[in-house]
Amino acid sequence: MKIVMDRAKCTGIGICEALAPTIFEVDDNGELVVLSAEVPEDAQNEVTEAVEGCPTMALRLQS
Amino acid sequence: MPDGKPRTVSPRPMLITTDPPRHKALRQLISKGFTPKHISAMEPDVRAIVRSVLDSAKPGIELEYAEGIVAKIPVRIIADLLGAPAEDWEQFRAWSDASVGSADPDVKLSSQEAFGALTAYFRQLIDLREQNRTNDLISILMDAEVEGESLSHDELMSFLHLLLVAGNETTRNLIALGTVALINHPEQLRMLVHDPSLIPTAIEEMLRYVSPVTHMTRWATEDVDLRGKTIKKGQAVVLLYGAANRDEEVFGDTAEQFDITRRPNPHLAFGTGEHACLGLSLARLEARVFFEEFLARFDRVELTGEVLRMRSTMVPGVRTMHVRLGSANEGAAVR
Repeated sequence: MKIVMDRAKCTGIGICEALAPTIFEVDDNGELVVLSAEVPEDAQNEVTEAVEGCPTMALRLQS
Repeated sequence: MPDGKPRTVSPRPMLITTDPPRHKALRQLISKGFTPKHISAMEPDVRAIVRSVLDSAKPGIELEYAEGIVAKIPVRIIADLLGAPAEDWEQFRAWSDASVGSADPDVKLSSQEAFGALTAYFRQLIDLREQNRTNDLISILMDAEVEGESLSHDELMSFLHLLLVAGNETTRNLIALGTVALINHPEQLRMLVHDPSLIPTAIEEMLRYVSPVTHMTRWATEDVDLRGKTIKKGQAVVLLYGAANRDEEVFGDTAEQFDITRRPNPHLAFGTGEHACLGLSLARLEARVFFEEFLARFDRVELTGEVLRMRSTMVPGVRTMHVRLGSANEGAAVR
């Protein structure tokens, strides 16, 4: 599964980073960086939580 | 959904009432300071403030909890972030209280007076930074540009007012009313004392159950059908977070119950969408550190009188609540 981010929707609030810190990081400019577009086996749950928890629906998963 | 119209008493452009795309540009100016990384780095400072306040709370005697303990914490943290010196923090708190509590007859200062006092104070902080920038939020906002232009004086002021009020009343309300929920559910309090690793999920449940901010008003940009009703484009909609957070279609049969182990807990206490609470990581950190420190010192807390609420429709916090705290170590001597 791959993570797809819509930069136009993202407001850089970092809920995804709080839920899956190894995958998402808001950088010093307030822009979200997806550290690993491919979802690692052992991070499936937290990535799903992060995608579902995004308040602006800027994240989705693509198989 | 887009934004409510600005309140008539406050004609300034506010972040929470600005539509995209300008909203995103404005918000990004400060969101950098509120990312999970930045907020985690604040944990030692937050813990030191929490500890210094809790040091004044002694077990076994009646004490006032809302103003006397809880209210001191978020205001210090947000005032520190903004760049206000520590000796001004208590004055800051009085103005912040008055600027949201105008409907409460016991708040002496009118919200307009408090607003004016805060504006004059912010003006002083800005003047000091005209010469020497520091690394606080005021300095960051003074240097910020949106679409190549600096913020207007009004925009800068409204940012500072919003950050102060939003960072202060809400978190304090969460902690005070979260404590009331624990007192009213003694079995949950015992569970939390025995297993502090439950504190993060307990905080989420407090957010859901308490819903510190009661509502926000937005305007529909298109027709929306919802449970057999149509919200027409252009109509105002009052979003009642507390009602959403007790929705049995989301939270099931236990929607009305306080359950510190609830998971998943997709509450809307921070709102959602473009305007979702900017400070949610900070609020979670403050509440977690508070209950970690508080429950490590006190394993019992009981109300010794009524819980008096602020008469505010939007953030109806606790004005006073008297409690007696019990500590496991000193319990024998106290009782």
